[in-house]
Amino acid sequence: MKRLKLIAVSLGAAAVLLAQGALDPAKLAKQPTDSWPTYSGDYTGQRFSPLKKINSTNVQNLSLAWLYRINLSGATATTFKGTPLVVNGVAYITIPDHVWALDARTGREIWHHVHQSKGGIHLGNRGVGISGNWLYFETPDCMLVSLNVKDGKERWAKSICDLDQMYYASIAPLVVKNHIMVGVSGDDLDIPGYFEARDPETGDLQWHWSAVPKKGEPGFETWPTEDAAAHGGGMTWGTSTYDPELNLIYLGTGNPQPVIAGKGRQGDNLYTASIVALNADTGKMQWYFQPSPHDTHDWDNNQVPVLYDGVINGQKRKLLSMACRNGWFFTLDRVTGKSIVSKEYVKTNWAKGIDGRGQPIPNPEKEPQFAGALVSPNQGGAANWPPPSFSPDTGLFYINASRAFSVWYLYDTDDKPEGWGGTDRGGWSESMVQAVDYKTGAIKWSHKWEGSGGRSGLLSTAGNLVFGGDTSGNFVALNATTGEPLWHANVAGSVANAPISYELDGKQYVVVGVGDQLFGFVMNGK
Amino acid sequence: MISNFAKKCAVAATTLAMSATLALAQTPAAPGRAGRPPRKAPTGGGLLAQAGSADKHIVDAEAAERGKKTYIQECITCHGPTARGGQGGSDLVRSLVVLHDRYGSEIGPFLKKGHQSQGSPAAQFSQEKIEDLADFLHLKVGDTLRTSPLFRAQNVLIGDAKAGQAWFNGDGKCSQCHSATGNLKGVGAKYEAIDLQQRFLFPKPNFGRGGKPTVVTVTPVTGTAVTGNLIQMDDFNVSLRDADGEYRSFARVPGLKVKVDDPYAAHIELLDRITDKNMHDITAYLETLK
Repeated sequence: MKRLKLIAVSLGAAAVLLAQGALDPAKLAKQPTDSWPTYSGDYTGQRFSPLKKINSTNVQNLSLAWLYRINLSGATATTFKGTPLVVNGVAYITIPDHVWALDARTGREIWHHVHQSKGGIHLGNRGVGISGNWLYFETPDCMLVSLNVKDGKERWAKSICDLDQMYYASIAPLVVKNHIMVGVSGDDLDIPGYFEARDPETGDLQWHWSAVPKKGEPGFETWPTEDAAAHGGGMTWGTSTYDPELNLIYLGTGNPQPVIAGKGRQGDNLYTASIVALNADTGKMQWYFQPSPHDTHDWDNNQVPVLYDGVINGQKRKLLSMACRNGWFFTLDRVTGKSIVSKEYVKTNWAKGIDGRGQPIPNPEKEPQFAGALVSPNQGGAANWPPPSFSPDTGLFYINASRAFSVWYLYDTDDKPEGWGGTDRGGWSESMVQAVDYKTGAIKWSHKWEGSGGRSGLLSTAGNLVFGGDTSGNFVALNATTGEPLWHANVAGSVANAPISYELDGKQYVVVGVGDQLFGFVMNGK
Repeated sequence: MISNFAKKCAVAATTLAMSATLALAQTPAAPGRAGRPPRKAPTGGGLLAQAGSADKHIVDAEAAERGKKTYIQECITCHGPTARGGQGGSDLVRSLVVLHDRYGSEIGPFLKKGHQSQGSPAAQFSQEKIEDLADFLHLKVGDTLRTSPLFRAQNVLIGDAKAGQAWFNGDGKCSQCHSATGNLKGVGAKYEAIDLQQRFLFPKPNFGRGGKPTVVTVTPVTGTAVTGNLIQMDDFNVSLRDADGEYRSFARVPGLKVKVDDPYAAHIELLDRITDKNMHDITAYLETLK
């Protein structure tokens, strides 16, 4: 396989640890191997590890090094849905309101921080961001909290959203230069989504980008009224990616609101269910692309915008790909936002085709109806928050996908529906890993799981492997080139996050979350 | 290392944070006000009930009913029957004054300050009246949530039963396994229309758990084929229970053959070709099978 040139991953000065346990800045010019310093492993969102001590010829020898379990009695929302960050041999992991530092070699607990909650939906937490000696995480009660990486002591906590409007916060903040990028969640009270940069030292606001425009601003014409736009949703609960050369942040936005009953918000509802490029220093939007115009199916477009350099028609291009919750795969030019590939990665039935910009055209008949409309995908989507992976070695984009049907009903008969105003019910689904050619959207290989329902993130490696969870409680390694299953461990539960990999003392580790347990696998010997 | 105190806090915070039922039960009771007993939050509602602040307003149904009378007398003309806005009146359900309010704490001062259109009459509301009005408005906010009893399906019977019957016996191929006088006799009386619709589309309950068993035949590389009810299968292993009730497990080594017979295969095949009209017609037809 021809290896594509990796994006230079300049993590920037802000991510360089300067005091105790400092990272060597020279190592940050390329993808690090002894750490996993951001949510996606680097700024690109590829979730690709250049390590190959564990590879397709020896993965059958992978064995368990350690197991860490949360010991919180009576707790039921303790699933690890986040990605650990690993810096200087220490892994930082989270569930809502909790952060732990673990020894990445042994899984032993170093410290544990507990946030005293004032409420909010405790659905999940995606992890921390780290800059210098400071760690950042979001909490369900709308706080951005900064801790000392050394001992987990709180430095400050700043409110980033309004709990009374049923916002909550869950994403892994991304550190870019002297900015902490934060996003918000909340799907109940018809509230506007936004994305912010915060000061790493104080948590103070640096800039604020609204997912919905005000009267007179571009995009406002896609809303019928000021009221509809001001309450139009577009949450920002997916961790963004960053191109240092272009100084652009790439961000997916959530579904418009009211969520299901869309009659009060006729129009495309920009910039909800979109991919947007924002200037990292000002928040000014450079371009947008909308995978789900006028969404009425809760198809948040918060999946990871994956950045890589590729070749299209013989020309080297800066590209971005996303496998969206609505079942479509897009490859865009990330300089301009112009579409290169628009194609389903599983069969769907909601779009009539694509428009001149490469955006799907929703079929109004497949909007939710009072008597029901049979739609694929279901509410959970063909993909959701579990991150995909892109291997620059194979040129394949890996998606742990679902093909699912459900019936979508309108419930709210009011002249002005609010909240959700309907939902979907029932369903059938099948699950598979789809390996997509970024140049064409063609499925290079598909590995169908025996069963349905499970959904995990993926990790690809230079060892020609794709790691992920199946639907039967196994942690599995597939051959990245062919999709052939090569190794598994029955971890007695669904893999709940995306695996990571790092090397310490010459040994390559793969770490994955299952329920309230974290498994550390290692390749011993050759 | 974590201190004992921190550990206790961890347990307390986690308990507060966890299952929605717990979270609700843990929501602090509203303070007793002006001789009224403290309120306790209702239980249930799942994860969604965690939305908002732990000290959010807890609606008292009787107070809301009293508040409704005030609302009808004083507010409904401008703000509409569901408080979502109307002729000149703003949407109170999405009003930040209402959303930040606890038992009249914001609504009271707002009205006393001199309501935009009503002026002094609003200022004359008694504290009790303001609190009751607050209960009614918080109830209306709650009506828009997925946890509301109003969050429910409407009539799904819009199809043509005769067309449904024709499709049942024709292109739908339903009659190959089912009949109105046989295994579907009385099904229209047994289920609500929406459940009929769900059941014929998705008969395999709970993503494969329960319902009719999937039959699997495993042929080892050497030895005879074994048939039984599938228990579990992944890329690496397959297990079944045979006709004698014996549990049998096989590693899926090269050369081992597995044949699966899903009793719901015809329903799954239907999903890609049934139209919404077919779906509504079949629902209407099944409803007639009383």
